[in-house]
Amino acid sequence: MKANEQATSRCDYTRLLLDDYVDGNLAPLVEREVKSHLVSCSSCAEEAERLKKISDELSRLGTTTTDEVLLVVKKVQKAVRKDGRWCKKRRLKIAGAVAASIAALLLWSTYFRPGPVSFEINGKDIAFHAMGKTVVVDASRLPGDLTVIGGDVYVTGEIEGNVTSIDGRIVAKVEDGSVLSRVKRALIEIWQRIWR
Amino acid sequence: MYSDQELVAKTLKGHKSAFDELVERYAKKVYNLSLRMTRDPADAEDLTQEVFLRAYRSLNTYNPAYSFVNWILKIASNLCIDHLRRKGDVRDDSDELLSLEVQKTHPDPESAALYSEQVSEIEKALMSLPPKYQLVMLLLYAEDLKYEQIAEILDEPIGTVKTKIHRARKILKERFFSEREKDTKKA
Ligand SMILES: [Zn+2]
Repeated sequence: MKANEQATSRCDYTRLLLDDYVDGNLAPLVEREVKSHLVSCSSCAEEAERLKKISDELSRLGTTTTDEVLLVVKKVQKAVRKDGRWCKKRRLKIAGAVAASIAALLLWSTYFRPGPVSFEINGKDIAFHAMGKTVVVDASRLPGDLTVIGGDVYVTGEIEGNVTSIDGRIVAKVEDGSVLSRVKRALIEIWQRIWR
Repeated sequence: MYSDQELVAKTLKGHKSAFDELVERYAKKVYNLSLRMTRDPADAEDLTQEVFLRAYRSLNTYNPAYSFVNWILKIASNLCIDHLRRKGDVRDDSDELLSLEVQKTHPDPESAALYSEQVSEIEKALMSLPPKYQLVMLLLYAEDLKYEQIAEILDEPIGTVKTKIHRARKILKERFFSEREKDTKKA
């Protein structure tokens, strides 16, 4: 049997449907039409083969063993169990040499609910009381662990050590520049008190 | 056996073991997706943990009328994309950029060298796509989801999802087969 290599309107029509054909999304009648064209047209058949190959390769992409997953499950369950009690602890991963940076810049915002908050950096207690209850930490300057007691903490950047919030929340990253600029001046003062 | 929705309701009432059960059900899916997106087991583990912590913390925002697995995969998808963005392994997702001429095989020569040994041709081709397109293809084939589910996860109309799949597959096909032809010529 001789294949018709010429691109025809039949080919155009088939090509439009090939994606759905490969994914099995066509109505039976249309699917039969496509199939019968593929039998007689080697160029469309080859195209279909290639698309199919891509899907097959993608579905074969590696998965994990049951043991690996069990470890992940345990880790996640443990993390969740810790969370939402009085203590939350979260490891944020670090990129690169943060150790070189010396200062922790603590940014202080006063627009949250009032109450005392204290910090520890690397176990060094920096008992600090303030109006607000939210700390914004520039993590790229933080050399180690940070513990905030009785306050919420926002982290910007990535941090090397652990961030722990006792009786407060660890809130995801601050992207909003206005928050930072609003509180910046107050923060620098705090930062100096801590590190001088 | 409880339904996902029942487990969510129990968790919200303070039964933490109910959430453990949800983790057992879906950690594998989330971990696999993270692993395929990041190609780094440690990152994938961290991401999986983060996904479930976020889910746990915002469980009260989950609408039981929708599928829980789609909801958790939505959180996972967002975090994976964010992660790749932070790692700088990301180009503009705008459609204009998704042309064969503009896109290189891999944006970072160092990691490309690192990967070339152990990464299959299809993964290399996949990595050359913007993350959102990688995600769509992984959801479709590796996670074996239907278009409707993907549309729900990505919060996009089915038409948009289909267009993405079509374009991504076209580019994957071109790259995958052109690499293989190069290899056959070399051999
Ligand atoms: Zn044809």
